[in-house]
Amino acid sequence: MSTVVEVRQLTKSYGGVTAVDQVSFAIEADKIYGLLGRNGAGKTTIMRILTAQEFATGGDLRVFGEAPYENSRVLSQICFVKDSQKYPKSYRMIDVLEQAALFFPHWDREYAFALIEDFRLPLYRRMSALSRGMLSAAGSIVGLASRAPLTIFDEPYLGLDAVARSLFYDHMLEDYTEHPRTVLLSTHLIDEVSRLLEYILVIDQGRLLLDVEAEALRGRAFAVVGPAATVDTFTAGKDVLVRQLLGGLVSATVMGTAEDRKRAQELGLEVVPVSLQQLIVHLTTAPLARKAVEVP
Amino acid sequence: MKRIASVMAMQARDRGTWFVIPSFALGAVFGLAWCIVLIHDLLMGGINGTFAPGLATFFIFVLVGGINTLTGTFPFAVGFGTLRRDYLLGTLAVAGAVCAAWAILLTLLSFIEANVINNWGVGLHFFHLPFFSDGAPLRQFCWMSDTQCAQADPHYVGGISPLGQLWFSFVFLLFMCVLGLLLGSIYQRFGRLGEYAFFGIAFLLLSILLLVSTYWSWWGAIFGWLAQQTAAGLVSWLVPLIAIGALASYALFRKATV
Repeated sequence: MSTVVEVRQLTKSYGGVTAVDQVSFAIEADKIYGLLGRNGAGKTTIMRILTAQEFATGGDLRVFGEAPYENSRVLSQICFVKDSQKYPKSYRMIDVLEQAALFFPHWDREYAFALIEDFRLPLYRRMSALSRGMLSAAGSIVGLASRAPLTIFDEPYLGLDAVARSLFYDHMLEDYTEHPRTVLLSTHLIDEVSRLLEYILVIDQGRLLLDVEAEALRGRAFAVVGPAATVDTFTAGKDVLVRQLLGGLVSATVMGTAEDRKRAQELGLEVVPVSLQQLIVHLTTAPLARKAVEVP
Repeated sequence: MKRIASVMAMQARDRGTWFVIPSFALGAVFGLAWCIVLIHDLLMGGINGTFAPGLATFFIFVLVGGINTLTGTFPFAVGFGTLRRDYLLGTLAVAGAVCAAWAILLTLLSFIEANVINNWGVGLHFFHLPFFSDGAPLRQFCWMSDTQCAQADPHYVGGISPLGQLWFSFVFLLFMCVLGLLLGSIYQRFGRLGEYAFFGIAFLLLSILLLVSTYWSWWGAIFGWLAQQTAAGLVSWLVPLIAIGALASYALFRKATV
């Protein structure tokens, strides 16, 4: 399997603030990756560094095996859609589409116009007059129709209504199946996109917390509820993500195997599934200030 | 080459900045000057020659166009994977072509003003101005005699030098445009503070220059030299400045974030 992105010890600091702190990960070809984390965690910064729109303070970065800065072999294969994307003042949607056709070598014109219909975007209205949601839809259309071997979406759903969001997810999945490519997606709406994601990178305060296959993560986290003593017996020696008091009962979210679940049930504890979103919330909630969780 | 062509297409798509807005500005200033001169003529009874400095407004619009072009298209293009070097080359190519087109139009209007519709019927001197359009520039710029000028430039009639004015307009327009790109690049790289710093330093340097010139009594020599220059000759000094401006602009946005 070929590696599309390889990042080692990537660091970005502004003055005294470290936005990205020694992050290392690799992205394999033709998979959908979710980059998850809270606001200001460093997601956008990482994406901007990958596309040479921002410059790392330290570390090593390879995209398609090369350094991306001023490298047309790399940059022509990437489409990065960010919510702060700027458009020339006089540009209308049609101008953006025509220009995108020149910027992205794999551009699919027909698909772009079909998407415009689906998202009901006005072709001849100026970009500066579009609403937040329409701008997001425009960005999503560029990202999808670019068919770029590495497509990066930075919170593509901002301001999109539920219909448009599910349109985006459906189109992405469909197009991804027909034209496999590598997708890196940052989002807050984790449960909505969790069915899309194959790999998950969780970042918090500039540090990488998790780099794991989505399926493995989904299976491994669960919560047990029961009397404090029983819960503590069960969780002894386990990786407890969060422990909460619920009246006289204790709820603990742990990482474990199927056997652990079975044991919990045998102990008379209630086993509750934990959604990906809940898991990420637990992982990135400040007071816990957790270290990276070990997940094979 | 294809990537530079994409940048050129992107710039050319923005007809508003390059043609529509300057056209309206030029038309409005010219219309206003024409009306004022007409009223002046009516009140004073008879046509008097009146020089309107309205053309300066047009050059300012080209400067602002340069600023808007950079801040408008640079984040768009680099955001969608354009190389910064390709952005520079494509943008300069379009800027050069647009300035050439405007220079031709201004020279044509100057020729019409002097030879076809005499001072627009009201005694208005708008496009054809002494020093900028007269014969001296070509003669001195090309180191030619009057006869040689006439031979070299078929439009050289009665001290009018379209070639000299064309050169003057083109270089000065391009200079304003590149200065705009440079200011836009400073903003793109260092934001508002960068602009303030730039103007602060420029003002400081100018003040020092004025002070030094006065202290060592250079003014006589400076004005003596200026008096001997022609518009086309003077403007040629801007050519190296244009090159420096373009390179400085690139040096700034090479590492600008978007």
